[in-house]
Amino acid sequence: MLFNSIEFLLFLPLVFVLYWFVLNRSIKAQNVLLLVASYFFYGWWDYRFLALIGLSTIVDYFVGLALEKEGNLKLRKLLVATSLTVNLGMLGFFKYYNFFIESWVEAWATLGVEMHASTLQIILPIGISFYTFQTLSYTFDIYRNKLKPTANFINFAAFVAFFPQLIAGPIERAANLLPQISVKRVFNFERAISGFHLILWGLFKKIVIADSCATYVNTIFDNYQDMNSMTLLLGVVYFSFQIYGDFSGYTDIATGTARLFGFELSRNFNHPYFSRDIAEYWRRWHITLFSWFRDYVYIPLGGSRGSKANQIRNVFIVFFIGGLWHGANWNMVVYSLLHAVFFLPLLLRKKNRKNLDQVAKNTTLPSFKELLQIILTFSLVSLARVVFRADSIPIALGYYKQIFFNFGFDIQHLVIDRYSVEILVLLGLFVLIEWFNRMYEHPFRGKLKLVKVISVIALLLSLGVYSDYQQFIYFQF
Amino acid sequence: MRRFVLYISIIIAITLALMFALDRLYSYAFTSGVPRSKLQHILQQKNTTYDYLFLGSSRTEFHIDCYLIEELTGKSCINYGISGTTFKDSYSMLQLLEARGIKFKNIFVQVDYMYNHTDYSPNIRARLLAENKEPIVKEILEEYDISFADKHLPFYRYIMNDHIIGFREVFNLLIGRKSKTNFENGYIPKFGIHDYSIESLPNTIIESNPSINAMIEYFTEHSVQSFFFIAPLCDSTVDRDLYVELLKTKIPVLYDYVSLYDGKDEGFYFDCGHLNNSGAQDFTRILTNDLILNK
Repeated sequence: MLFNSIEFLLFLPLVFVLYWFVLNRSIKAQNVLLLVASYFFYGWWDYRFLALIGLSTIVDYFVGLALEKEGNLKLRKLLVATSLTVNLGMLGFFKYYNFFIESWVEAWATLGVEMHASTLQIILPIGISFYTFQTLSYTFDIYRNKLKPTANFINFAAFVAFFPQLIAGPIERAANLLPQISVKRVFNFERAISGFHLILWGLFKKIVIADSCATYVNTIFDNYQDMNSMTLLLGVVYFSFQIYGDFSGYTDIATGTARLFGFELSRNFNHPYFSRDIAEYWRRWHITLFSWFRDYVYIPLGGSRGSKANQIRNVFIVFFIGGLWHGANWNMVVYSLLHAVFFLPLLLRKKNRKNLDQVAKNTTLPSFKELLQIILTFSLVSLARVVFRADSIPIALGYYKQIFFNFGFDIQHLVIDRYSVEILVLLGLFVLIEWFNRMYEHPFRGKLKLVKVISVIALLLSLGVYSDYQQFIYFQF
Repeated sequence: MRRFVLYISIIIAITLALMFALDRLYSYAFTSGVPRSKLQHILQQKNTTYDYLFLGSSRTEFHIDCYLIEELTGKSCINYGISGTTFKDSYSMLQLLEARGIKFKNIFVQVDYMYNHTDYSPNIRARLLAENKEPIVKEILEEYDISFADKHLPFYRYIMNDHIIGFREVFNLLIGRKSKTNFENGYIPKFGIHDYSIESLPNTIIESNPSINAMIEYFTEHSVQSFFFIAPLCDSTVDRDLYVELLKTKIPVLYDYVSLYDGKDEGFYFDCGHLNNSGAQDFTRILTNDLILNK
């Protein structure tokens, strides 16, 4: 089920009413409802893949309990290995099997050896990368004695499958979400209202910003051979806003929905396009994924300790795995490694933790230097996204080539009969709203709160893209 | 909780009020604005008579220059071809023309693979929905697949067809931005040679197209001289000749121009299924000579 669908519009109020009005006296009943609703939510897409969530849940539940009882280090490692094998095995099979087989065959083909690929028609279960990482973190934290396992299977299953964030995150840690599931929730007006506002803002980002950009992006990327530098650069900018609106919009809806049920999810985005360097960008973009990699990969590898060579190796390993996590293709790996390259100068100069607070914290506008830093960071991120968006590496290279060699600075007319000025005005307005609310989650605050809410509803109705439906980009991961 | 329910109820009420207000605004723009589509043009006309009227899809819209026909014959002509139009749509347009008292002495209908499509096109459906306050449009829409929400939920029809009748179109209507189409002619020229990729036609044909049958009946009833023709298609079109033969079994008097430019590389095609302006001028001249001047 999708957040921006009629089904969800019916599903959410129904679950809300049952949760707060019918089952509000029993936390157990509420959690059972959450679990059933979550499985229904996921099964609406394809009920067969519920078995995978079920398997992952059962394995990590029992591994967690066994880890607590087991004192023998070797056996504890064996238990973690079991969890890893099951979770990464599922992920590997469903997400990477075809990729590795095809890459293997292609590698031999470059040496002149012809091999026959026996790839399968494997459907990628949506959300598999998210919930496997969530359950793995539970096992890791118990193994490291940072978390006590839960004996309540329903609570644990509800944690793994919690429908607001099941499909595209935020990737929750058990330490944050599980205790919330275990205690009685009391309805809080302010929290519920802020949840509603986040849902509204998320819908605006997705339906107005991301999906409007998508129309332009698809046209420009599909016809990049006929486009000049200016149009291609605009295509890159539009895609940056599309993916931001799409993914952070999803996260806002997820976080807002969770708040309606009395839960607080981890923050996943914090105005990443106002970052002053790449390190800051990765502290603000898809925060829960990169904090996962930091805690379970980067730091265990040694992090920023040890020799420079080791530090560089660690950075490249994290970004390489990050790329593979995003998608089973070389585009994602190259995209991530480009970010590693951008990150490297900061690491080597020990400036990767320079910009930790919000830009222009005590002023209305950024300084000229900050503005240049923001523009440079946004440009690097956006240019790298060509690899992310292109269907293959050669197409991405072709796109770059056109930018640099098909020199032209007039904005071309697109076959979709749309004008760049329309989308640029919309994006300009969006950037201003984001800038003046960069300390907050959404712009619905102050005396004119209700006016702002009504304005956004009016914009959703009039500027939203409903006929040319665009799937959430991160569903493919 | 009571406060929350009250707040959400207010928001829902405001949303419905906004939908109602926007519905009124959009409807006003479509019924009162300068016409930006051929359907709007028809609906805003009254009691006109044309000597020659053309119907069909883009293969009519891009191929027939009515100004040239008027110049050659000295008689009035209008091209009401619309890209993507099916025969069901064309029949709906006939009903609209009749309701507005627009008469025509001769009608020319371009027929091709669209014969196999018995349904309506999303474009015409959306444009009709935009004007569903009109009694004749309401009547025509009875034949279309229209949901309960399309009919009764304010603004829903505009939301669900936003790429055709959404904000951009309404904004253009409200500021009076004229369409690129000259509605006195209806012809849209295509320039240059675009994409010459190979097209293909179906290798089977459906038993009958009810809308074509209804149109033929209509022409007989109203004593209108009708001409069915097929415009040129490039010679690399797969199953072209086979399909035209099949088409002739359904429409016995079919004026066949499909192979008009075979082997003549004179740069007449914009793409495989459409002529460019040079091709359209040449084709209009040939068709006028064959079906009007020398008939």
